[in-house]
Amino acid sequence: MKSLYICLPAIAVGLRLLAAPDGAPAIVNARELDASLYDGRTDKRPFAFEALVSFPSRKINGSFALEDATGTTRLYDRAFWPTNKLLAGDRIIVRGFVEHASDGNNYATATNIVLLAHEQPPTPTQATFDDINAGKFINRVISMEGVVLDSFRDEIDPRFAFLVLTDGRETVYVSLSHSEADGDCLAHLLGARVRVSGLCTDYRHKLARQALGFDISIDGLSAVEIVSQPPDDPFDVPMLHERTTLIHQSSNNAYKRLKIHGKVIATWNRNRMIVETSAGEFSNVRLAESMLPEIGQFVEVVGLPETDFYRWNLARARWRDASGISIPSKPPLQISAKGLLVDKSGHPMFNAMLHGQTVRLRGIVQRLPTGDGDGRMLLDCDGFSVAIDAGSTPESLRGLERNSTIEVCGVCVMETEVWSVHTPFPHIEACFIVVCGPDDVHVLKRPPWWTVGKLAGIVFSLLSVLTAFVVWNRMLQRLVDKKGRQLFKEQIASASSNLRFEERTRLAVELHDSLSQNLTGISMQIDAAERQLSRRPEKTLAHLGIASRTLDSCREELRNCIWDLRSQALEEHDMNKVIRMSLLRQAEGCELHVRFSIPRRRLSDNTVHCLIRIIRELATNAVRHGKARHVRVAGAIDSDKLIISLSDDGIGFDPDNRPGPSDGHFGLQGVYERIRRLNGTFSISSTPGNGAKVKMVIPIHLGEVQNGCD
Amino acid sequence: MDAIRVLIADDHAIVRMGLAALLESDDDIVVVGEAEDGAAAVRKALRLKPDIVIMDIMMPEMDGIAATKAIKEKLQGTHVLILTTSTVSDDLARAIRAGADGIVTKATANNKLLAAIRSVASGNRAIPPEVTERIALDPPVKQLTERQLDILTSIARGLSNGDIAKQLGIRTDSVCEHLDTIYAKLGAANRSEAIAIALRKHLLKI
Repeated sequence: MKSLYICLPAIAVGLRLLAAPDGAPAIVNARELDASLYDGRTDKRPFAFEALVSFPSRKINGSFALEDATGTTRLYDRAFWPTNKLLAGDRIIVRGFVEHASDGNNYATATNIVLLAHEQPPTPTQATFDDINAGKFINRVISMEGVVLDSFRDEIDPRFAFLVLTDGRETVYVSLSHSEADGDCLAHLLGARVRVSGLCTDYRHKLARQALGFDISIDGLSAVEIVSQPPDDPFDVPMLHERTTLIHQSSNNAYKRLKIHGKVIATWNRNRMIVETSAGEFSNVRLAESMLPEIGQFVEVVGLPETDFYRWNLARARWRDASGISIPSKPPLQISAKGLLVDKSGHPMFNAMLHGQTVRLRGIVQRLPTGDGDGRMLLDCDGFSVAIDAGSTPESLRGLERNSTIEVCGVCVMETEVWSVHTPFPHIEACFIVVCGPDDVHVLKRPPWWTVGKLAGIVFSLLSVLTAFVVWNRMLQRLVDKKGRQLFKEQIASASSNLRFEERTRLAVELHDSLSQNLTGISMQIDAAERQLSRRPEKTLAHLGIASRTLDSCREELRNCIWDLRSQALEEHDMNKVIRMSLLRQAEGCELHVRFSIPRRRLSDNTVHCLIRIIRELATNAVRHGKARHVRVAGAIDSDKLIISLSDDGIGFDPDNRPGPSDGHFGLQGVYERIRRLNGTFSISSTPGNGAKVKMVIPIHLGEVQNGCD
Repeated sequence: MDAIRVLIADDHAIVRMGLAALLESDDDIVVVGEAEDGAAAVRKALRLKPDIVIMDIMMPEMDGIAATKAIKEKLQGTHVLILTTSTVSDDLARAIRAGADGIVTKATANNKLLAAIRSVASGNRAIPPEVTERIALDPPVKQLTERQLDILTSIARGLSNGDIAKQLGIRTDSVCEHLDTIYAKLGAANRSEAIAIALRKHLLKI
C-alpha cells in the first residue's frame, strides 16, 4: 500500500515529464546539470532526473543540493515547491530548466518537484581544511572540526552570520542562518573547538566562472557541536610581542588570538585606535565592534595579529579595561607638512617614523569636514594638503572657517595595506592627524573678509545685477522699438492715406474748377446754338465757335492735367526745378529763366499746382501770342505773401484791348479766376513792342509753413 | 407777359457765357446782369432787382449761400435759383436753409433748367426730388463752432496737438477735448477720417 502511494505520483510525474512541451530534456543527471551551470551557454535547456536531496535550504527561494550516482549539484527553486519542506534524504523527481541570467550566471531552476520517498540522508564525509580549500567536496555534505577564530555577521545579508574555523594553518568560513545567531551570541564560541556538518559550497567569479573560495553552509547553530569548551577568560591568550614571528615564516601563529596591553592614545572612525604598548610600540587596532575606549585609558586588547611590516597591529579585536603604569607623555613634535610627506631628496614619501607621535602643525583651512564629523578636514600647509581627523570628538573641528590659519596638535596616523607574501613592502594608504579634543585646535588668524570665494560672490552678484540690468534694458529697448515701429507704421499709413486723399481731393477740385465748368459752358452754348438755329441763325455760328474754342481749351487743360499726373516734376523739392520741368512743353523754342527763392516745403501742394497752372498759361501766351524769345519767372516770399512776376520780350499787347472770353480767349480769364480763388491779386502791364509783365501777389497761410515739414 | 429778368452769379466766365447764351435763346428771359462773386451778386441784385438770381454756391469773396441769404433778406420779390455742380448734401441743405427757391444741378438738362427758371419765377419752389433724397440719405452733420473749425483746419494742415494749442493759445488738453467733440459731431474715429469727412462735406477747403 505504501509503495503504491509512493509509486502513483512517480508514474504521474513520469508521464508529465514525457509529455513536457519543452521536448526531451537535454540534461538527465546531476553531473550534467552541474556542468551546465558553468559552460557559458546562454540558451534555455530543460532538465529532468531523479535524485536525493542532500542539503535542503532554509531560505525562501533558496538553493538546495542534490546528488545522484553521477555527482552532485545545486539548484534553485522558484516558489513551485515549498522548498523548506524538503528534508535531507528526500528522493525526488525534479524537472526544470537552466537559464542564463542577466548577471552573467547560469541558474538551474526547478519547476516541478515530485517527492518519491524519504530515505536515510547521506552520511557526511569527513573533511580536512586542506580538502575543503582544495575544492574537493563541492556540493557535498561534509563534517569537519576546528577552533572558532572569529565570528561576525554577514554585512550584505544580515540574516546570516559567519564563523571562522581554523586548524592553526588554514581557515574555513562557515555560514549559518542568523535567526539562530542573534546579536553577538556567537562570541561565546570564540576559542572553542567545534565540529560542524553542512554543505560545502563554492563562490565563483561571475564572469570568469572561476572558483574564488569555498565555505560550508550549515543548517544553524544546531549543526555546531562543541568538542571542547572555550577558555574561561577570552583575554587569557599569549601576549603579542616584538619577537612574534611574521606570519609567513611560521603559520603556527597565524590564526591565533594574541593580546597587547597599553594606553589608548587616539581613536577614530568608530572602531579604530592606536594603542601605545608598554614596549613603546604604536599598534593600530581595528575593533570587531564599534565601541571605543576613552583616550588615555589603559586597555587589554585581544585580536588577530597582522603586520604592515613596520609594526604588529590587531584586527577583529576586543578590548577590556586594564590597569597600567602611566607612561610620561612626550611633548608634541613641531613638524612641517614637508617633513611629514616628503623624503630628504624631495620625493613624496610618508615619514613612517612619525606614526603614533603627537605632533603640532600649522596650516590654512582648505576644506571643512563634511557631514557629522565623518569627513576629514584638509589643511593647506605650504602647498601640501594634510588631512585632519576629528577622531571621536567631531566637535573639535566645528565652528572653523575656511581660510583661517590654525594650529592643530594630534596623533599622526599612517594606515597601510595589510602585509602578505604578495605585498612584501606594503604601501602606506593614508596619513592623517587625529585630534583628541577642541583644545587641540587653535585658531591663529581668522580668514580675511575678502576671501576669493567672497570676492567671487561679490563679482558674481554684481555681474548678475548688471546682466539683469542689461537684459531688462534690452527688453525695454526692444519694446520701445517695437512700439515705435508700430507707431511709425501707423503714421506712415495714415500719412500716405492722407496724401492720397489730399491728392484725390485736389484733383476733384481741379476737375470741378476747370473741366466740369467748361463742359457745362460748352453744353449751354451748344443748346443755345440749337435753339437759335430757327430764330436767329446768325447767332448760331457764334455760339458754336465759342463752344469749339472752349473745347480746345478743355483739351489743353486735360493734357496738362495728365502730364502733371505722369511727370515727377511736382514731386521735386526745388521750386526752380519744378517750374522748369513743368514748362518743358510750353517753353519750347524760347529761353526760360527761372529764379524762385521760395522753398518748396513752404507751399501746399494745392498752391504749387495752381501756381504751375498760372505760370504755364502765362508762358504759353507769351510764346504763342507774344512770340517771346526769353521768358523770366521770378518768385519770392515777403512775410506772408508770395510775389511772383513773369516777364517776356515778346511783341506785347494793349492791356485795355486784350482779347477776352467773348473773343474765345479763356486763358487769361482762367488765370484771373485761379488767382481770385487763392485770394490773390494780379496785374498786367504791357505796351505793344515791349513785351509783357505780369505781377501776382498771393497770400499764404501760416499753416503752410508747417505743411510739408513733418 | 413781361420777360423774366435774370441775374447770373457764377465765378466761371465760361459758365456765365454759356448760361447767358442759353437764356438769351429764350424770348421770355432777359439776362440783366452777371456777377463773378457772391458780393457782386448781392450788390447787383440790390441795384437791378431781378426776378431771379441764378446762383452758384462756390464763389470767392462771398459764397452763394451767404449771398442767397443776403438777397432773400433784402429783396422779397427776387427769387434765388441755385445752380451748382455740388452734390454735397450739406451744401444743398444750407442753400435751402438760406432761402433758395430752387436748386438745379449743372448736370441737369438745359431745358429742365429753363423750366425751373419759369417755375421759380411764377413763385413756385423747384427743388427736384433727387436733391431732397440726397439730403435725406446723407444727413448734414451738426454745425461745428468757429473754434472747432479752426482746429479742424489746423489738423488738416498737419499740425500736431501741441502746435495747435500754441497757435490758438490754449492748453493741449483742451485741444484734445475739442477734437473729441469734433470726432463725435462728424462721426469720425480719428484725425484722417475727420479730415476726410470734413472735406467731403465742404466744411474745409484745401
